[in-house]
Amino acid sequence: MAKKAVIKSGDRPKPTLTQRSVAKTMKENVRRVYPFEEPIRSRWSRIKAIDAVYLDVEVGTEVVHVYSLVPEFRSDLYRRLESPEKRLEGEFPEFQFEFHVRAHQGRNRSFAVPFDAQLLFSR
Amino acid sequence: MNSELAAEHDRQYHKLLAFIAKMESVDPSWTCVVKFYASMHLITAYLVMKSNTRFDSDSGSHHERRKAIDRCPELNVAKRYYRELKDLSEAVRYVPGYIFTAKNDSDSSKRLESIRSIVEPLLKKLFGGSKR
Repeated sequence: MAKKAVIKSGDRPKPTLTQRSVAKTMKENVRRVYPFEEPIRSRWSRIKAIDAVYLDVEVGTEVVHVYSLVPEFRSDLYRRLESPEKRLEGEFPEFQFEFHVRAHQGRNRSFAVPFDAQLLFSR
Repeated sequence: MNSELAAEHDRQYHKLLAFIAKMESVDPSWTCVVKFYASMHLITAYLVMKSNTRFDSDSGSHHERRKAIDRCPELNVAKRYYRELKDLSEAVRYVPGYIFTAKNDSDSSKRLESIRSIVEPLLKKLFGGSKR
């Protein structure tokens, strides 16, 4: 008579290579929350012309790209952005900020920024 | 050394200006990109030439260039135009399906002209008329 395999309650089968790879990817995908996110969210959202703000951090170099999305380019926005940008750079000198303005032209806003950029706020 | 490097950037700037003239009627959107790079070389020539401004033109970093521009109050107005031109050229380069409008075209030409009107005389003064 064939012996039945007995799995002790404390034993767990070892994860397969795929399972380990998925777990690793999930761990990597836990997004780091940066201290400057809330200041950007609150200050940039006060500027009516801006529909959304996206963030893209180059991990390792600490270069932070901030994308302000507007329906179309407009010159008056730049003067309005100068003060919050300068303030942010003063508060977080350990990061290198690069500020961008992108026009979404009424299309999907995420198409106007790098594909891995994170949405900080949208209206 | 600085003047040699500045002269190289100035030469590149003039080369791009000539290219703009040829390209404008063919593809206005990509001409905007060339306008941005022309302004970048003009401003870089000035920053390299200006002895009291620390700027490594080899770093290729827009951040470093922006910081150097910030240290030059005489470029306060030019830096806004430069930024507008940079954003517009990025839209052309990176945003798929971006519609380059007639207003974008006219704005990009105006911005380049404004930058030229501010930076060219400053650079000429630094070169002291000896280069050309």
